[in-house]
Amino acid sequence: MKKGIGLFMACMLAFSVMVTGGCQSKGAQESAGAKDKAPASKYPEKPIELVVHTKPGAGADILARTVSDILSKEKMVAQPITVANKSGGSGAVAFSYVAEKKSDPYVLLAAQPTLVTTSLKSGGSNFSIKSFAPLAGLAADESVVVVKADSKYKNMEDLISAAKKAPKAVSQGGGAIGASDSIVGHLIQKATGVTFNYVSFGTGGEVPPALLGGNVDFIVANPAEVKGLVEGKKLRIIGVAADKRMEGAPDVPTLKEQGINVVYQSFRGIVAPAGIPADAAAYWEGVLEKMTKTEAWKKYLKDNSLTPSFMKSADFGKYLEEQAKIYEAVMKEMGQLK
Amino acid sequence: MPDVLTGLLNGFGIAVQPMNLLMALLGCFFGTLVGALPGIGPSATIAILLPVTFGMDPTSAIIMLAGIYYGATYGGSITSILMNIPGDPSAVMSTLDGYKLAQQGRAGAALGMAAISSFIAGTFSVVALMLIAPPMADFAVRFGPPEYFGIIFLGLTLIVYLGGRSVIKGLVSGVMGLVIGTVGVDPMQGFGRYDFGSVRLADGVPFIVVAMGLFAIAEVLVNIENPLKTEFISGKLSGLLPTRKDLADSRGAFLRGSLIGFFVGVLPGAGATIASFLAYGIEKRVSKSPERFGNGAIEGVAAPEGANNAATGGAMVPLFALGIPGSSSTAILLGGMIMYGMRPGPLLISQNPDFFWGVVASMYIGNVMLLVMNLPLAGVFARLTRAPYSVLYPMILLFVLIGAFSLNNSVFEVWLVLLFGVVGYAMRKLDYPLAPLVLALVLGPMAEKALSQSLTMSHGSMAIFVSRPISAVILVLTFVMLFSPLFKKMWASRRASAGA
Repeated sequence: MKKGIGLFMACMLAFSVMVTGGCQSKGAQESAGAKDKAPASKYPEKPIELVVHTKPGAGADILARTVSDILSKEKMVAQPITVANKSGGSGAVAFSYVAEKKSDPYVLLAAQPTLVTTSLKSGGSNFSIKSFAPLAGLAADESVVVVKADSKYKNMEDLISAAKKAPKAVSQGGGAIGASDSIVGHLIQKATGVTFNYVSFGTGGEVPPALLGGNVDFIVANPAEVKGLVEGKKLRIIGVAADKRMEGAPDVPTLKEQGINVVYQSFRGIVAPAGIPADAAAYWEGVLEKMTKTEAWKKYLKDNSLTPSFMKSADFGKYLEEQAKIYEAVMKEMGQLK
Repeated sequence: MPDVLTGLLNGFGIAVQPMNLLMALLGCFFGTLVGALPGIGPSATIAILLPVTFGMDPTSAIIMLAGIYYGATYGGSITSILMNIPGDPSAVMSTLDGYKLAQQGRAGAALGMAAISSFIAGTFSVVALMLIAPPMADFAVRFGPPEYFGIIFLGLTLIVYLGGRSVIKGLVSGVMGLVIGTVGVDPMQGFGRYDFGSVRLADGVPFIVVAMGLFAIAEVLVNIENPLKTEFISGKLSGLLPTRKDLADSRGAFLRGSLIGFFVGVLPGAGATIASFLAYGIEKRVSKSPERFGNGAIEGVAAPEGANNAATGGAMVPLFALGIPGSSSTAILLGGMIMYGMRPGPLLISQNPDFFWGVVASMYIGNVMLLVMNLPLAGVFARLTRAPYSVLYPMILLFVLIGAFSLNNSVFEVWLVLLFGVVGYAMRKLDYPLAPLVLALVLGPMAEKALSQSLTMSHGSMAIFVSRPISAVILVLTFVMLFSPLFKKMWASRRASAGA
């Protein structure tokens, strides 16, 4: 009897390992819950994989889940869309995975500037910006300059004049060098001729606490990252790197208004592997455009302080090429590229 | 105080609704299961189940996800104790004494102690979360890179206490861990180190792969040298639960584990793993008979298990009080909260009191559920150790290989785990302790990052570590712990010669 129990428990454990090992795709498929019957000859005919280069919970992940969620709830896509997280190597793992699926129209990728910067850096490996077919640009994430609420820097002028006093007198906290916030910092330095003391933190989540604790003087962030803290009066935004003021924050002046000619937006969009059939690309372009008109999407934009900015695939493609050139130049200046 | 009471009572009202009770139960159950399986951790599970919760009430959803979180920190100890396989990095410390206890026939006592300690510490951390979350969070953000470096440095010095009989071998093992920790992308400059050009190693060697290889695979390899027993182990399984003496011995461990775990958990970026390391090391350091550690000291299970559960409550502090995620699991919870339209930040508690108190009350209930589920099961699990090795070891290998593969759905990690299995085997044969290596592997990269950040902030001056009060205190504490045995000896010999 005792023998039996022991063996039984052991087999149960082994079985559950195998089940949960295969559980990833199973669980997520059940959850998408879309209609299961598609018109037989039309695309898409199989479930679709939407790849994300970050761990769950990060901005790109939330974007991907929101897209898949809205498309299935509003029954805009007949097949379930599974979100697959493949984090690692600043996105290299996810990007090379998708690039290798050339012309496979059942794999999509949530795209952010990291796609451009990592593609540029991985020279020699198996993907470049040309490995991806643009489907649509969906939104733009602004960059804001943030200080502690009780900081002595009340606006950009205070910050820059303090920085002018001595090189590295003012410290900026941010992610790894090469990430968006470091790029914005670099652009501000170029435009004003100052040098900041850049302190790099690992994951994005460690940056706001560093500012809160007074360990750095300012950070550059996406509005959503600091929204709660700004409303809670712990942090303050002193400038936004955009052409016009944000709708959700009309009393925050732009950097341009304060004499600093820096504009920076992080795009958010969807791409597919290069070489997919034209009708598949057109399908997604249409479906995604419809999605941006839904209430659920508009709520997502508002909750995450994103700026609506829909681009069809041709425009998005041109935009990506321009971005690649800009990033290449900036990264060479920053010493990230030879 | 009255505010807290009304809030809590309101919260219990919400938490005992049948749906929420069910969610808590599901969360604890899945969490324990997932924690026990090496490779799949709480953050992956929370990620998988997050979409399932869409459409549910946000409070119910977070109740389940939180249950997974603290269920998993307990679950990791099951395989740690029974099979020397840490199911989760925070369970590595439990293998040291837990597995020895299991080999002595006291698996039930070890598992039971883990459950009890997790309950006590988990409840403590929920109480603390409830009472002092906002001021605690404000204090925690004052911890900048110099303070983190201090704590991590403290953890690294505890390596000498994990060395077993030979301190030198312990140090060698620790240095190996530091070296392995340098593989990956340089934290400040962004270029790759020792990654052989492979994208796979860009983030370093995954800790869980090293732990599984070193502990589990090596254990199997070492044991198959002896003729394998093919019958069940005879002899009594003494005591399926901890004895009164065990509980009494562990009183200090409960307290220390709870405090250390909660406090470390609050710090964003430090979590259950570091908490369990520190708790074990400090427990051994303050023990009156430290030589028992590593050979089946029950406090060696009570302290780290308590600490890692207290750390989950602690990690909720920055999440709820400031909207800052302290670990990858809380980051996913945060993402979930955003998707439900909540605005995590200092105003969360006042804007969504039902949510906050509902989740807090449910965490109390969840801790009780864990205890009730797992104490009886401790006896059942313990019987697993009586399975014949010819069945047990292939199963261990199966778990480990599947676990390694499941990390990234790739065979690369499987090769890595086998490599470390061989390394672990060599270390065991040559009598090098394993724990310092894994400790240094986790703490080394963090120490390097904190050091670089601190020196950048101070423009290269080391004075920053002593000019900041908290950092100075931590460093003093570290030196006291390191050198006090020496001082004691000097003091004692002085008194002896003075008296003679």
